[in-house]
Amino acid sequence: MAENNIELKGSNFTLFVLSLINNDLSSVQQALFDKVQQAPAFFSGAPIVINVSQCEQEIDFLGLAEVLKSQQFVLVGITGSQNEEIKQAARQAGLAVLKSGPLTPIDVPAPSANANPVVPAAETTHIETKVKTQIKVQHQQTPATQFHHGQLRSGQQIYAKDKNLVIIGSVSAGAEVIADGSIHVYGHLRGRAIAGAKGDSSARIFCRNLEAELISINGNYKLSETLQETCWQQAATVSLENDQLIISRLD
Amino acid sequence: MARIIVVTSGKGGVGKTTTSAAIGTGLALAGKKTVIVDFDIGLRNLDLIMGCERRVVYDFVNVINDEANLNQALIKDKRVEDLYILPASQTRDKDALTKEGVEKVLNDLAERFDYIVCDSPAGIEKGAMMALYFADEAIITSNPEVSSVRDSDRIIGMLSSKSRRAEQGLEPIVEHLLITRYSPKRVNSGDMLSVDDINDILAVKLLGVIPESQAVLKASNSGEPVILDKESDAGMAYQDAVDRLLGENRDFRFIQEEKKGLLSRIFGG
Repeated sequence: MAENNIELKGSNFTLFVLSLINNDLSSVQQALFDKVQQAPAFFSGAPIVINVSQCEQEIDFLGLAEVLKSQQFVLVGITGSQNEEIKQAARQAGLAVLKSGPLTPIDVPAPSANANPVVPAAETTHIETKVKTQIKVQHQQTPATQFHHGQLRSGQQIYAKDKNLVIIGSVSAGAEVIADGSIHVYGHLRGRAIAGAKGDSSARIFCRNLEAELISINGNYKLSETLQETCWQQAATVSLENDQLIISRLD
Repeated sequence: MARIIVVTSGKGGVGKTTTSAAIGTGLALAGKKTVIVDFDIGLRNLDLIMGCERRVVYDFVNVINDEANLNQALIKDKRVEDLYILPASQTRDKDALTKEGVEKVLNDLAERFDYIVCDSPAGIEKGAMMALYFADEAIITSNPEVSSVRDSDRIIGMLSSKSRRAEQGLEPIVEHLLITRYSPKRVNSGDMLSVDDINDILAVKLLGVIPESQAVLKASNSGEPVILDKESDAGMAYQDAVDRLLGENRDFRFIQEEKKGLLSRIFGG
């Protein structure tokens, strides 16, 4: 009778997975805060699953749920646990225990290390720094790119904030293209090009014809005077290696 | 509906007023009812080039301020039927131009004319912006030298961002490039930018190339638009430009030093 009132079916959902290295909630909170600041709207109210496969310590799940809630996440469950005690603790905290999906590489910890609660001091700091870098959003995000069709004239300026910039046309002398990411110019680059404006050293500049007044990556710049030595009026790419601008031919 | 054509350049002294007078006169000669409007408030020149300086009573600013009506301010050309001039005010400055005032005058002119040629002042300030704001087409005048080309580049950027068509997301202004004071001889000797060099930088459809010519100075000083000097190279080049503006196909003349020079250059002789 009651079965007609409901419909029970399986479905797939995309969830964020947060990998924990240790049970230090304050470091988790700080790392999450830094991550969320990059895109507050993107993360707001997002369901999240904790991967505990790399954490061998006891975890305060209720405390963790609070930490996540304070950053606008909704804690759904845990995954990656081989330890029955941890699973039990999670269930008691009202969390689901999920089987590891394909995204999670399972590193089975050595059983002997499992029981040891005392971690040497040097290793602790190592682990703490690792927490911050380990929090990665396991979600495919398209890299942001800003496009400009047509010639950029003298006196005009484009700034691609937090993006790569693609100019389909030429950049005239006296024009300025700036991007926090890389810059591509499918035409003559006669003006100024400033890539990695917020400090990204891996940003690059590409152009079909290099005649720039100035090129700069992360504050390292060259003027046309010195640019004329290499790849002048040729298709070229500019990258930053050891704080040196490297200009090389594209063709 | 009248077409509003702005003659602009950014840089001064490249031949905007000479071009406005020649193109406007050429359009009128082709039977189009044409008015040339001088936007260079405070530095009135068009009346001199057109040879009507002694007949200026009221001006553009008077009409904007309702101190005179259009009929009182428009000066009819004595040589060419269907050609009128709306002179600038010499005693005022560019602030006398308001967007609303200019729009009102242009709307009134649009009812009576086929073409409104706006002679822009130099620079990128208010006067130049007012001249280009309402334009449907633009004739970008440039000399074959680097600073003039760069200023033209700047003004082309303005056309595509600061004009009414740009602001309202309408079809963009039709851009034409007119190269003036061109000397093939100096191009060949490497002193002057070539037509190809300029085209490479500006990437705008070429309307005409006016050769450096004694006829231009003579025409200016005598108050005769140079296009009326049908024997002169500059006059013929302007006539070609007008024909192209009206959709005719015309080969480019006066851009080679001489036929022999061209052949020897191509074949390396």
